Amino acid sequence: MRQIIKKTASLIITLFIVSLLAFLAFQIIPGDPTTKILGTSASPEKVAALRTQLGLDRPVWERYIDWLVSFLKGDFGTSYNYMRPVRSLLADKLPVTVLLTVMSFAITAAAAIPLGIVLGSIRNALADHLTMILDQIIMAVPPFFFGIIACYLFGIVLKWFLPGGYVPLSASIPGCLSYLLLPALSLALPRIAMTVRMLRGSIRHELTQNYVLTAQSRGMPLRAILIRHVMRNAMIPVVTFLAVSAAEIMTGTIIIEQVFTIPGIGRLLVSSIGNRDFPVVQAIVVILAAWIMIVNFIADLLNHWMDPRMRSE
Amino acid sequence: MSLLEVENLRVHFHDAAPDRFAVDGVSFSMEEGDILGLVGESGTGKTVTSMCIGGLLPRWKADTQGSIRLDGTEIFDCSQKELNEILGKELTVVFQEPMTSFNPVYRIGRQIGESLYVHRKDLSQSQRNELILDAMRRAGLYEAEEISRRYPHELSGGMLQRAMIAAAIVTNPKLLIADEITTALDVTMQARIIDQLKRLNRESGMSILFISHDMHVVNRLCRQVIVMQRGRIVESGLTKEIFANPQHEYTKRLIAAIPSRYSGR
Amino acid sequence: MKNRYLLTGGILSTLVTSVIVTGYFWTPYSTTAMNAREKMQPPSLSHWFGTDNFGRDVFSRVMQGAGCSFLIAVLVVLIGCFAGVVIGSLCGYFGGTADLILMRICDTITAFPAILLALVIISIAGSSVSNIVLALGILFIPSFARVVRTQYAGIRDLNYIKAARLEGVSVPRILYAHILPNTLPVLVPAMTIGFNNAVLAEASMSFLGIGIQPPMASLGSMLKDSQNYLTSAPWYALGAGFSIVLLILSFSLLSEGIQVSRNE
Repeated sequence: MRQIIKKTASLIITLFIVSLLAFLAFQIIPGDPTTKILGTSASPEKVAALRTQLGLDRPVWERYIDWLVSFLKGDFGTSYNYMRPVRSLLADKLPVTVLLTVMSFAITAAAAIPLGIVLGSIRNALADHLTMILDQIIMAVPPFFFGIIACYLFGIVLKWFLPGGYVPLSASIPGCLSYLLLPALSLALPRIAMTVRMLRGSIRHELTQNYVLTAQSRGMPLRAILIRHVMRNAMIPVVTFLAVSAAEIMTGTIIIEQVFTIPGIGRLLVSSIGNRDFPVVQAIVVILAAWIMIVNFIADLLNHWMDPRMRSE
Repeated sequence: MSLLEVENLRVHFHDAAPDRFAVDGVSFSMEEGDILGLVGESGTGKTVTSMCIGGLLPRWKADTQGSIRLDGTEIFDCSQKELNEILGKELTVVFQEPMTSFNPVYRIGRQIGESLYVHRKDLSQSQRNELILDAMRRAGLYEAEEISRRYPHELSGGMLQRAMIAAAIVTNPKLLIADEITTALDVTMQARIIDQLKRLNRESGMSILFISHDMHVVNRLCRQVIVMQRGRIVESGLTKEIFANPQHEYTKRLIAAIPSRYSGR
Repeated sequence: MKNRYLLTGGILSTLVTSVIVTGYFWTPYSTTAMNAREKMQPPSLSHWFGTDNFGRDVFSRVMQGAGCSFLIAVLVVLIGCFAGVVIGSLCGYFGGTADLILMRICDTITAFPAILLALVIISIAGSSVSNIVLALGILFIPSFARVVRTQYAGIRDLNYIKAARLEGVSVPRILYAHILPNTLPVLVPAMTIGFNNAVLAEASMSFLGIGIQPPMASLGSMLKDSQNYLTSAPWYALGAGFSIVLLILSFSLLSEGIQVSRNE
């Protein structure tokens, strides 16, 4: 219990540090935001007035606290480009990205865990060889190329769907889900290959441990040993890896949204970087960073619960 | 009928040279209630022999020939299912490494009760707990309740080895195979474990096949002893007689290897 | 079995590298000259990967693009590896509070996907080749530092290092003449893995239009271009995409082979 409180405290501190870094990073950008808004020919008085209005004349730490407080309240600032609150820009885009991430992660876990268990527990030279080769090939394909192949194969050749014809969630839930299926799969494939490889190796390793022999000498059938003894140990490193996968998948949506023209925060982020629309970039980066740290925190807690050795340290 | 009869056992590992047998024609038998020592330096096939008796040597690793009968049942003829009926119930094994023989993620008590979980599904949880605590006390773990709630990494090697013995006797098996169980422990702990085994043998008549490279420990514990070298038996008989009058050169060397202050009873 | 990875990986990566190096000096066709009559030609003997919307030979452009990706990835690995070795060796050898803090920072950085951080850096510093190389290079430091640190922390207390210290060998000499060669078995696979990650990161960023800008082309930016012609000239996308796959696959097989032969 004390450990959990300690971990939570450390999560909150890290979140603060990351938010501070995200804030400071966007303070060192060359050029003044007033130039961006007023243009280069504005009179010094006007610039000074705007600086006061935007609060730029106050010390950095004061502005950080203001920014953080309003960020926590859900006010992410105003987009330079759209002249709209960032929050309203994100409102209909974030759910799409979250849905895509969740789908992709669910596919990864649902495919990789059973596959890894089966491949880790059977002893067959041919299956071993095939998995190793397939693993290597699939891991070498970037998700966006999977996406392009999928667009070509299922969209242009087979005409199963219209690439770029995203169906909003509000229009049709099944339509939206089925459009998101291929992008989710493209993101998931390399992660599945990596997770299978890892879980398989982890199970193989655990099967050589002495406690397996102990269980065998108790007359326990191999299946029961796998379920009761090996799985929990083998999953410990995999849980951490799945957390990394969740972070990678969320970041991967930035790219896959481009391939399938999905209006999520990834597309918004890329266009905002192009337009140097920093409030939007900042908000998205902080949200993504918070997501990644929370996922890692959950993995940490899971490991803590699964592995008693972590508790006593 | 003897409890254990091993006849002309030969084991060949697939990755070994064609004429190199890990166990090469070993025969011996063991009566019920006996403590038999199997000695020899490491790599002489003691552990392989014990693995064969438990049917624990995987087929993809080695070929076996000969016959092993435990209480009249031919081990080599058993299916895995039949074998699983014997293991943990009639025959249990304690291995050398107490630290790694336990699953790191479960509490000690649960792991000691593993054989009950497999073979005595008829018992309730509380009945099982009673048996677990009883076995722990018989193995010399007197703060049984407290220790059963600990995790393996929280206990010392000696405690873990006694917990392993508790796990092996919880079903009151006919035969306990103890494979180098004192090797990883210090001398005081060795002595305590040996006393514990002697008491178990005396009080519940449990037969013990004690495998060791340490002549001194064998001398203190076993009534009969078999000396193995390079997969073969070179000498066997009553421990007393062999110590008094070793016939084989190898046996003499093993006895000579005991530090002087231990030699003699 | 063990040599099969090493063999395939070795042959493939040698092949890929030699094609790329050739591409720096010579390509079958000009990579810039447009040819209206040869627009959107499917793959043939004269144009292995077909031609693009301007009638340029895709294979020649892929050669050049791969050269660009390759160079960036090599530079990124060199920066990351050099800085990683310096930081990792000092942390591992001396330990202490600085080591603790630096490693904690490394862990935090590696928790974030490199592409995300690179996007942040590029969005602040602006998009240019040197910025991409620097951003990725810096982001790759922690993974190297970690690996090197673990090695140094393990080797520092071995007897031959103690002996060298007693003989009065200078610290830099101990660090880089005595210990460094012993970290190579771990460092070399880390470099090939880093190379693959760098190829992938650069390709992703160029694909987003944030990396290499035209008229320069990398495999990622070619793939982005080609997406517009997926209906009329799918070979363009496939040529560029499979080149990325081949580049990554050859070096990952190589690193797998090195690791397997090390374990033997």
